[in-house]
Amino acid sequence: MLTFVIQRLGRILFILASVEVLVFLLMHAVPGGPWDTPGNQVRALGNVFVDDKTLAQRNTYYGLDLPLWRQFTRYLIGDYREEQKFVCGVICGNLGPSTRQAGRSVQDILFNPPEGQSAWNSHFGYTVRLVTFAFMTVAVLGIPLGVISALWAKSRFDQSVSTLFTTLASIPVFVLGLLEILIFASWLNWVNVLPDWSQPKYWIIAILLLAVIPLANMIRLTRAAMLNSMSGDYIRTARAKGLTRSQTVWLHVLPNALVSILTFLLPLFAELLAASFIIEGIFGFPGFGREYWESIGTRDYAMIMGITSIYACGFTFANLILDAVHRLIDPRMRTH
Amino acid sequence: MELQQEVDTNIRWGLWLSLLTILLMTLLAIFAPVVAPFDPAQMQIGLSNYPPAWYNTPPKVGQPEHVLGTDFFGRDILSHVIHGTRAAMFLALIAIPLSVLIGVGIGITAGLGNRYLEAVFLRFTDIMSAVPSFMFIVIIVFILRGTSIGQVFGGLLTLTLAFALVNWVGLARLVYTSVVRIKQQEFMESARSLGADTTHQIFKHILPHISHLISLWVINNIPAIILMDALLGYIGIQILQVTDGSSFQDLSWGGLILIGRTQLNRNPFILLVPTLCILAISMSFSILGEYLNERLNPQLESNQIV
Repeated sequence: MLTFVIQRLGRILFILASVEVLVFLLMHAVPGGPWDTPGNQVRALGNVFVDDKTLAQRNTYYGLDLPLWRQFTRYLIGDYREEQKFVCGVICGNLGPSTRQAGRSVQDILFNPPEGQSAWNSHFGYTVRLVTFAFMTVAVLGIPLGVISALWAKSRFDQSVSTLFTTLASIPVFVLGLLEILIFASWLNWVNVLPDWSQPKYWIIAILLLAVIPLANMIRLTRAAMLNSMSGDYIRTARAKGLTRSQTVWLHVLPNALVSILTFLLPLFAELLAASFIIEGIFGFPGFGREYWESIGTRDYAMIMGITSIYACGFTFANLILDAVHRLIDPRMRTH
Repeated sequence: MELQQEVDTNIRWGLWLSLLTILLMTLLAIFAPVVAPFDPAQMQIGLSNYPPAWYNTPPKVGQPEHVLGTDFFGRDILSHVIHGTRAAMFLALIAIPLSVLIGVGIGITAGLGNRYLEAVFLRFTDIMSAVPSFMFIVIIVFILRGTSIGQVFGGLLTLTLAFALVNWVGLARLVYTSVVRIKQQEFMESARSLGADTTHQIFKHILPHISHLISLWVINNIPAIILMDALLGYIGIQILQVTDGSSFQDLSWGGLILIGRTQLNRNPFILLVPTLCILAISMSFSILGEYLNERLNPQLESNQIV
């Protein structure tokens, strides 16, 4: 187990480093720089407000005049700034200054909560809460619904659950959000159109929206895993030796299906995290996502790199944990 | 048993309906310029924000020639919807086969190749999956949009390439694991010992074994790319660059939904019609996919014991 963890940690380091290089190169391949407007056009009034001297000063401050490899090492490891003082990079947890929100560093924007509030109210805290709640919703609703669908395969219940969720998952998520606002705010008057994230009822709307498509996938996968587990030969044996239907399901079908359901949880986590970026971007949820879209549009390099790194970290470590749990639960995994 | 038959009839009806929808959408996409009453990009300033034709309450009465009304620039909504079909079907029919070619090719190569090839492939897919795929698509669209590729097929090639370059990873991983599983089985060993070369192994043994996986992947990803196109249009990363270079314009359903959101009180059909189109086409492919899954997947045999 220890060698497994060490091996995997080395692999994670390699993956994270490669992600940094890849995203860095891709981002710098996008035409335009942080001082241009979105849409690849040079800022129309740029010459009026920012003269060449200021522009050069800014470029020096953010290191944008350095060759590309120096910019990368400056970001990752650190570099000497103006007064010959060494400023450490990502390896010390310094994610660099943001160009879009001048004067603030990326870690300050992402992790520091507004004045006088708890850490849960930072951008990072909001995203973590949203994804965790949605993850729990999908697991708690999806697995039982999938199991029941499989046990009553092709019944009315199975049919209606699958039809309902196929329909919901086929509507674009932004239209679904509009529909939710129409139903809950305009029609039922439960909530205001402008959300107040300190109240739980607004969270329920966002979580439902985030959970719909993963929930549909989860139900389908759980159902398939159950059906697969039901057609094994050992089930025939169990039934032949005289176990009742419910005994067979609880003792043999479910444990086997749960092992393969566990492998769906990691893609689920990644899916939720990626989908949360989209939903936050569209509905102005104060998490990562909004920052992310605005930084891609304005080419705020440090911010894009920072958020992508945090995503990659979350993904790889969740992968490690789920793999370890999988090895502990499933004896077949330990043999090779 | 009676209930069973009823359920089977329901499934068959759904199947025929979805096939019909797909056929209709394809025809509409091919003959879009003929069917559409107007050029969807043509602006008529005097005709801005007209309601649908059947609205007859003053001050603005619907025009009979603009069936679904017009948007802020006086562009015809119905023509926009019809041309939006083109974008969706183009993506489904070009981007998906392209990613299948890349994904299956690389997956089989890695599965049959030597240790080093395999390791490189596995690490590369690890890296790709550790980055949100949506971000990749957006960045590739940004990179390609300004180049000459961005002009081909009204910018659709950009999104096609972006989608294919990102989405092959999942398929390649799927193909790789099945190839590794298949090549250890006895029939492959006997084929090899009888002197079958790699081409024979791939085309006679491996591809037939993974074809159901590939077709399922295709069917499941067609709705995904149509939703993706709509989403990109909605968040304002339009793919189409109009020739004068100063303005962007997107003829996808997503762009229409973006217009419709601001016009919800005046003309809800701008939002409603493209949504229903997306719903119809992705549901059709989902139903088709579920049917194919039951027919093609050898593991889901119907001899259930419990």
